[in-house]
Amino acid sequence: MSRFYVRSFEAIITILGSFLAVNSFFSTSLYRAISESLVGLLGRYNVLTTSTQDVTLYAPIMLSTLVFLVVIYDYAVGKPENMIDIYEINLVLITPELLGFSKINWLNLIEITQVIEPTRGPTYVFFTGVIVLFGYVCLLFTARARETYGELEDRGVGPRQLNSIFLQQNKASILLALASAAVSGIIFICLPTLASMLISFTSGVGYGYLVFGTAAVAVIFLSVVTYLIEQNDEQKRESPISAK
Amino acid sequence: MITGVPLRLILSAFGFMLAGMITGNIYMIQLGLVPLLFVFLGLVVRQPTKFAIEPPSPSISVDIGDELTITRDVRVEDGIGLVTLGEELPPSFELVKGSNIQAFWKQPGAAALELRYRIRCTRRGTYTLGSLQWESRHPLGMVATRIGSLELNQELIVKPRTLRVKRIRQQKVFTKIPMPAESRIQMGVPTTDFKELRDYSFGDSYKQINWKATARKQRSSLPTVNEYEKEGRQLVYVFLDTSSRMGVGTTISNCFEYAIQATLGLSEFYLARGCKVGLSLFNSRPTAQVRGVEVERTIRQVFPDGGKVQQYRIHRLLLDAELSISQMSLKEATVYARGHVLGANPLFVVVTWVCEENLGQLMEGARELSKYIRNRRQRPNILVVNVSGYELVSDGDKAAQAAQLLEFKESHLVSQLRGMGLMVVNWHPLKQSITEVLLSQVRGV
Repeated sequence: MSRFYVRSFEAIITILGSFLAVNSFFSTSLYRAISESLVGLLGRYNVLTTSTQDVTLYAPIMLSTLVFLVVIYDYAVGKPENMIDIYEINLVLITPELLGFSKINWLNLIEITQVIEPTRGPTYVFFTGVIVLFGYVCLLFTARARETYGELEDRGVGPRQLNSIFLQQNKASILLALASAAVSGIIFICLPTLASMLISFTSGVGYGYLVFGTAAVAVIFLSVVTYLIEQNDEQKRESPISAK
Repeated sequence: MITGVPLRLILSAFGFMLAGMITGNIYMIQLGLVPLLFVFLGLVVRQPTKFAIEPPSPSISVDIGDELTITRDVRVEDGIGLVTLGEELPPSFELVKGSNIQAFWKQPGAAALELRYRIRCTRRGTYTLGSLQWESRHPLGMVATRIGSLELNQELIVKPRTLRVKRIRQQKVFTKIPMPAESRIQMGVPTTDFKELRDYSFGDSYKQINWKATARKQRSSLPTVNEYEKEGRQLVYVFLDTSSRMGVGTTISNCFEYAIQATLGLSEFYLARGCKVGLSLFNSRPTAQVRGVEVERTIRQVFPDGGKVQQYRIHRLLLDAELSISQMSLKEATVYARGHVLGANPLFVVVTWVCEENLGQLMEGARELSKYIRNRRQRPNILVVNVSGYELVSDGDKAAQAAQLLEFKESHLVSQLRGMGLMVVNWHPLKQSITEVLLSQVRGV
């Protein structure tokens, strides 16, 4: 029964994530530019018919079908690699809309201007990204829990214990994913207020974006590396028993 | 040690942050926080590391075929995650209920975990349940699994099942179950029973000198003394066949196990009646060579003695008895034990499965045994318990009929042994107990 619940949750999160990602892609100016270019291309080679003129109408249906077929296949197989596939597809689909909010438009350098423009609000796009990432983390860990289930089953652990463990393991991963998504959301909501408080301090520094941004990422990176090294050392100190 | 999963998530997070930095996109940087925070929260949670066990009793003793419930109470002090407890069992044991490997989800705080399962002890012997293995996993698999063990040092003794042989009152009148004819021994306290006259030797008491007999002797330098019988106990010597043929049947129900049960039952029967009992393991089909290497002619035995200590010795020998443990024939085993039976006129009990392959060897052994017997009262002094193994491997009516045919075919072999004056008792372990077999020998019942 626990497997059924988890599978249902996976199905919901997969469909929701993929729907939001596909929706995000079709909401971008990039998609509009691609479909218009396609119509122009077909017209240039005189293959423009009544049906090909409606390519902007059929393309979303065809692309959505393709995406959902791949996603359903990956969901059915249910291995961690397949869950990563789902995430990567969704990531590719939401990236254009996310890039629409970039302050540095690198495409200007190659003289392709106004290809990526935001068509929806940043809150909507940000939370779409959060749901996609939440789905990725949840699906990755439910797939791993399923692997643990199979491994313990092969070793002879009884079904009652297996179901209980499977449920608890998934609960833990979903709760932690929810917590991290919630904290990210809170940071997103609080950031404008924080930014307005810090603007007086940062506006005086030349190239503030590079100075503070690079410094912040470097600090985060170093903190993570230090934390991981510390974790390793601590575990080595604690456990003289060889780890499996 | 961190596993690959959090590293993958950290890389995803930095991918987002780097992309956000390059494109000046604050939302991408913020999205990178989702996997990063997940890893951080995941690593804050610790897997269980402190395990303790309630010390079990140092020794458990059960009979073969018995079911035993094993319970281990483990206390885990810290952490959250998946805990697996497991215990290695001897390969021949049967798991009846539960599993010797169990998994638990450890919630925050101290927890008591109980590993409980039921096994059937299908093989004799002394086993050591040395340790309980534990395995502790991080709830998200972000940290490498830890493994360890808790000391148990518990001894599990699986005893052969004893078949109780009932006492029959006034057995000399009613039963044919043989008892040793005499209770003479070479050494011991002299009784008042006159044995013979002999020359005086150093150490003899003056009271023993027979003056009249000495006076009748002419020109002999040494006086003549009376020799009396030494006080002793009746002697029974049991020979158990360990040939590979005895292994016919399943692990629990095989010819050898029943032969051991019969040996143990008869030993206890005779020991309880004040007899001295000896035991030798022989091989009615010894292997001369294995892969071109000559097999060492080994023998396992317990020299005759009486009492509880002897019962324990026999028990220990039978506990460790295996097929082909001895490579000496019945004759060789008899010669080996000759010093202990000479002059005692013992009762010999041979527990085997009589078949064509070992008949010659058994007859040769019986001839050797008869050298040590003075059969004054025409009582059989060699008892052969023939443990028939055909029915142990038969399942279904047709197989049972085939087993009967084979037994019938071999019945003439038993007749040949009986022709030598041996008392042969056929025992079908699945149909009757050894008590019933021996009772069937009682006259008038």
